[in-house]
Amino acid sequence: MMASVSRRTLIYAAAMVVAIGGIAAFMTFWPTGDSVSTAVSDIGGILVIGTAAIAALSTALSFDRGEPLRTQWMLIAGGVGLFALGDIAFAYYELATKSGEVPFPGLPDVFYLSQYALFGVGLILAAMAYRGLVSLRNPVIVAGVVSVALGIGLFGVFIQPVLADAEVSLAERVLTIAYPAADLVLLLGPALAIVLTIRHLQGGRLGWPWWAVAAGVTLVAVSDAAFNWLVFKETYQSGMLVDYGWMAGYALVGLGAMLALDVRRVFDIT
Amino acid sequence: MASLFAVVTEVLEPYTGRIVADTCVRASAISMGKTADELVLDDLPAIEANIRRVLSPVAGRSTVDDLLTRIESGAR
Repeated sequence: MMASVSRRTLIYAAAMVVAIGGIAAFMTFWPTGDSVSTAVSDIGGILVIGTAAIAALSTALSFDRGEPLRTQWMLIAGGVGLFALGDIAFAYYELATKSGEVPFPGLPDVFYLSQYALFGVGLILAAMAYRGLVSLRNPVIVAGVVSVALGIGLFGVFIQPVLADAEVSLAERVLTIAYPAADLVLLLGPALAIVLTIRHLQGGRLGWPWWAVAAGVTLVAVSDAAFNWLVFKETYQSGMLVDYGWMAGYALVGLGAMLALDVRRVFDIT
Repeated sequence: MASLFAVVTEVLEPYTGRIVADTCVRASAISMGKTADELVLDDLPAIEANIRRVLSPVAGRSTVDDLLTRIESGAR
């Protein structure tokens, strides 16, 4: 497999590992909560996730107009890009305002929530594109059942305590439900459906990009759940482990985009 | 000389895995009222059309074009 992965993809992967590792190392040795550490964490995250968005966009543009893969990757690029915009808004509040407080709900949430629509539709279209090759019935059913089961679990662990807290505003309650619900319905569910579909390819090259995307999406969804819990407990600070979950998750989505370009190089296979 | 069935599955396998490649060719054969082993060079256009239909949404047009070029060069 390695022989078919391009040098460009390996450089992207190495750069992402170095960037995320570098930010994590800095945050480990620099005092948490300091303005410098907040800036490094926020701006580092924007650069990592922005790079992933550019990777997805360049993959989308490599396909001709009207091709399903162009639409899928364009939607995914839009989703990742909106998350990066959310991070820019988040960083603005943290770094450029006097209080340094990020409103919740606030402008970043507009971008963060918008990404689900694009990303989710992109993933659903990607899964549906395989219907000519393999049956999608079982993957869709299993993904649906798992999503509902996870939803019930999340409701008990994350959502119910927030709803029961009388001090939490209505807007906060709505967002507290919206994030995990969107994670399940528009990210995890479709990603699971894709994984269950492409496993029929037995490691075939067409599945490579989607393994990376599914892994990335899972990391993003887990990070979202952790972030919501930390915000509810009022213990979230920039630079916490959850930030690396987002960075690594979107970096993996970008890796999937790079692999999608590699998959196109038919004549490299011997 | 390798059969058309063998040539097509050999080209598709790195992309789709053995089972899906196999199913893809067998489905084409069945649609022509044949078994996979009965496929001959004259059946190639129909097989290519089927491959293009199912693979284009997941592999992209240019990739499918390249795969079909490889199949044609292997079959002739």
